[in-house]
Amino acid sequence: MIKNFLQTAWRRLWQYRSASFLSIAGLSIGMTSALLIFLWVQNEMSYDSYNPQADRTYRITAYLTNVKWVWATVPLPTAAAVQQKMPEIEKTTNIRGTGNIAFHIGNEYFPEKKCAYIDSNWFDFFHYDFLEGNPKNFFNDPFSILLTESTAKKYFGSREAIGQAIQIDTINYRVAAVVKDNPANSSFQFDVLISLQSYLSNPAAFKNDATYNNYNYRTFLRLRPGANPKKVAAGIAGVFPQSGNATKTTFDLISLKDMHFETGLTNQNDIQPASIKSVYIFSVLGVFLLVIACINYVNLTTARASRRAKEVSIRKVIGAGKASLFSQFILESLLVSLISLIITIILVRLSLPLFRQLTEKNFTDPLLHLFTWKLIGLTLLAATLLNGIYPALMLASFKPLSVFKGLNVLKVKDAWLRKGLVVLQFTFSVLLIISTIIIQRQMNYIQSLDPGYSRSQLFSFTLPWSISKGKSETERESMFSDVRHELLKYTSVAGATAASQSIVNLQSSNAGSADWDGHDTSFRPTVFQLSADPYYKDVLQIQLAQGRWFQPDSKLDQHNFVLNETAIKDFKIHTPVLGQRFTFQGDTGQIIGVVKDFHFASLHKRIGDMVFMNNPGWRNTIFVKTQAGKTPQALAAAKALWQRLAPDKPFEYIFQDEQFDQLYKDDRRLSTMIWVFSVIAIFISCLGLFGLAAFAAEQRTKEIGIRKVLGATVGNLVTLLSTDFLRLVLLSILIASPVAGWLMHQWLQDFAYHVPLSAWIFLLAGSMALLIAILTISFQALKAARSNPVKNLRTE
Amino acid sequence: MIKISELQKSYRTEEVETIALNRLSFEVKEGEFVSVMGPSGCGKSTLLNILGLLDDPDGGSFLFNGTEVAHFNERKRADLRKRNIGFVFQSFNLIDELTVFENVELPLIYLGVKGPERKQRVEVVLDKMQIMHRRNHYPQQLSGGQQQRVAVARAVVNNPKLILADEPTGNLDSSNGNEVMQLLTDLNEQGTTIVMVTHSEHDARYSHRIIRMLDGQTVTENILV
Repeated sequence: MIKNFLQTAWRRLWQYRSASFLSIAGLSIGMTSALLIFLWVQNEMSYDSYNPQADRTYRITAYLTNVKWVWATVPLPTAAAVQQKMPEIEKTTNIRGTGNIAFHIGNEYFPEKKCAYIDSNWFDFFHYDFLEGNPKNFFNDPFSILLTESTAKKYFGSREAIGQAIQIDTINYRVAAVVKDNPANSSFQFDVLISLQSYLSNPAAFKNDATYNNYNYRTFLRLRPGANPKKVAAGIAGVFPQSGNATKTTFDLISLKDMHFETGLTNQNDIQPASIKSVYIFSVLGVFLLVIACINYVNLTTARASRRAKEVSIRKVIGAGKASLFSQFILESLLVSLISLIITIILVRLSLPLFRQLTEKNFTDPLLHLFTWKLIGLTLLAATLLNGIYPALMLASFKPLSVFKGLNVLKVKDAWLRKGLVVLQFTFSVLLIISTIIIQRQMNYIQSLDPGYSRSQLFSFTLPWSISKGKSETERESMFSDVRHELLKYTSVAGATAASQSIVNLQSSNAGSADWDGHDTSFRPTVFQLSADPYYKDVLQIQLAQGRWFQPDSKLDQHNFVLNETAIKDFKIHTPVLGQRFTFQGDTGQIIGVVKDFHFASLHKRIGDMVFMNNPGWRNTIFVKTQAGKTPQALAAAKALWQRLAPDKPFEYIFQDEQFDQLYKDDRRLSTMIWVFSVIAIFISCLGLFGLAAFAAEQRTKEIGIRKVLGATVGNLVTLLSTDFLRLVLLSILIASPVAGWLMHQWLQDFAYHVPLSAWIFLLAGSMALLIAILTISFQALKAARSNPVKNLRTE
Repeated sequence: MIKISELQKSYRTEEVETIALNRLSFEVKEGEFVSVMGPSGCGKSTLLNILGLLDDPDGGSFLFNGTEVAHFNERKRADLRKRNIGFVFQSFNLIDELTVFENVELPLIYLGVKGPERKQRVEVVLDKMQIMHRRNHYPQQLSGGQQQRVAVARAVVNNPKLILADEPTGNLDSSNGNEVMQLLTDLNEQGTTIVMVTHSEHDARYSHRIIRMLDGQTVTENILV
């Protein structure tokens, strides 16, 4: 019986090739999109969970409550101390960032950004696939270095990496292990791991880290089964020495599995926090796409149901029961789903490199994972059921009566359902069009909004601390002054200034150190701080609202401050503002100027209170403004200078524009992904509409013939054939608009500064949907309207 | 074999009620060949639907081999139908996607007959209908007469006790029509009961008895043999 079903199904697919093509193409594209999205979602949801005992692994979070800082790091001694004091803790491990280091191989320097120092328990906590070397022997030599496969290949090509020497600063390391590249769902995307022992063997480093004052280590704890993480977290503060330190610190534990979506850390530069919102958005989008694609199949199948009435009736007359017919149609849907799935697997394979680029995740071949096959199985099941059940029920319940009449006259009374499904499809599509337009507008707004300073043709480089080590403030100041003058000698350099950090995304903040006259001391605002030299305002083109900027060569100004407008307002500084006493970071001076508010963080955040100081001790970054068109020369000049100052370090620089782009990397990725999948959703919906329009035209062949004979023009007929569908699309626009409005309102709430939800966006999206629908339908309508009426009437 | 008495059936649309069968009674004995004639709309098709267990009557009784089947549920009717009744239609009603062999095989599949036996039985029937050489062709590739022979083959492959034929020669030329009528006569001679709806006096003459219908009732019965 199954053979017979499959035969009929297969031959029918072939006979109605164009309809089959539309169903299968839509389904394959929908399934491919859904599968890729679910792969991404699964990857996001499974971060770090592949590690052994991930459910018992936690990381300590430190809350420095006085200054309102939340850190993912704690002092080095914490790990050993908590383990000793708390029996609930089975094991601990530490990882420390290396900062920017450079590999010295042969005669060349290579900057390496993704490096960390690890202690000897690291591999007990985190899983690595060792290709060469092993975790046990790795720590035998403190100067061991571990590389990922691609890093090893980058440096040593096909040569064996093990045993190769790499110099970092003045220390020689040896490659002791090579591991497979980190999986895409690992929070630790380090290319290089170095034994922590080597770092601590430097007495100065050890002295710096062995205290409870420096929070440099991410410390992970493995709790014993059944241990209460809340209790453990509460006990951590107890290991810290009681001191008169005003900084009060409390601790919490975050589960390894939750770490990926962690938010609220004060300084989260190294790890981009993922957004659980995006995960939800894309999960829904994945289901949408699958449903849209299935709707095509259901619509095309049920639309053609009357054609199948004959077959169903004959089968019934001959003895087929409902169950047998039901299984026949389910089997047919399975066949279509299976064909689509095979195409899907090929498409997934082909689109994976693009998807990797889009998501910036290094997915390995998904077909090698059991999860993917489970997902494929589930998708197949979902598609088969979504596709199969309704048509199967509908077709199986046909009454075969009319078969005796020779022609089937069955009226399929499911037109409302088919219309409903088209409305649903287009509602999704319109929703996506509106969202895409709004997201795109917000992205443009971000890119084009004047942040209140100029970041164009501006690059920066950070001088290594080593060259200013041991220098007095005056010596440092004169060093920066020399650097500045040196750079300004070049015609390619338009300006140069020194500051403590980049203005694009100010990270450094402090709460509790600011004081002024009339200050209510219970008010401890978080204040963003930046140390800038007297040239900063002009190079960055920051606007003054009142007063003046720091003057060159003014010793007095080194203790003065410039605040932004928000700070003046929030602090309720007495008027006249200028000349008011201000104390900050232990230094007391006057407020000499107020700058107009500018955006020193992403537009997700409201402009906060900000203080400029002029303390040269804080500064180590040089900002260079280049003359238009002379950037390469300016870079060469900076590099030449660098090579004189720090010949043993590679010259690294970053353009402020680039840094700005980093701020919205996630938003842009989201926007691109939404855009791509919107186009796909609309395309699939159009495939369905195209099929339905073709079918409607075909069904009305006789009517069209008669109307033509009676004098209808092509225009009349196209209108006749299109109106029904366009009404549905209009209804979709009406349903989708408020839903999209609400959703986008929610999304925009994540931005402190955002575009308004203007009515024209909805009008534009609606018109686009209508236009797309008209184009889709009119092809079929025109074809039908222009056909020969004599032929049409004869076919009846 | 068939005994119907006081059979009633009416159709309702929104405004009009049409009485299709009006207290219709007659009997068909085992081995009989009966023709039903009458003008369009007299209720012939409705009668055939009910006899074929494709539709229920609104009232009256329908005894099939002595069992009251008028109010059988769908499943029971389907079961009775597939074991006892074969159908031949004016428009052949072959499934376009299946070959001649597969079309004829279909009733046996639904009866649960195993593959090798199916093959053998289908071949016997195709041979008998002289259509064996066309076994791998699709219906569209056959002439009308050949298609109707396939339809007859399909109707008889499960050895039904009753064949219901709805204008079996309506779409055929006279020579093909005669061939089909001869086939039915042969089947009847081998013991199969046949009820045939027809407009053709010529075809009706192949049967033993003609029931003439008008407005849902029998008006006359002509016994021919």
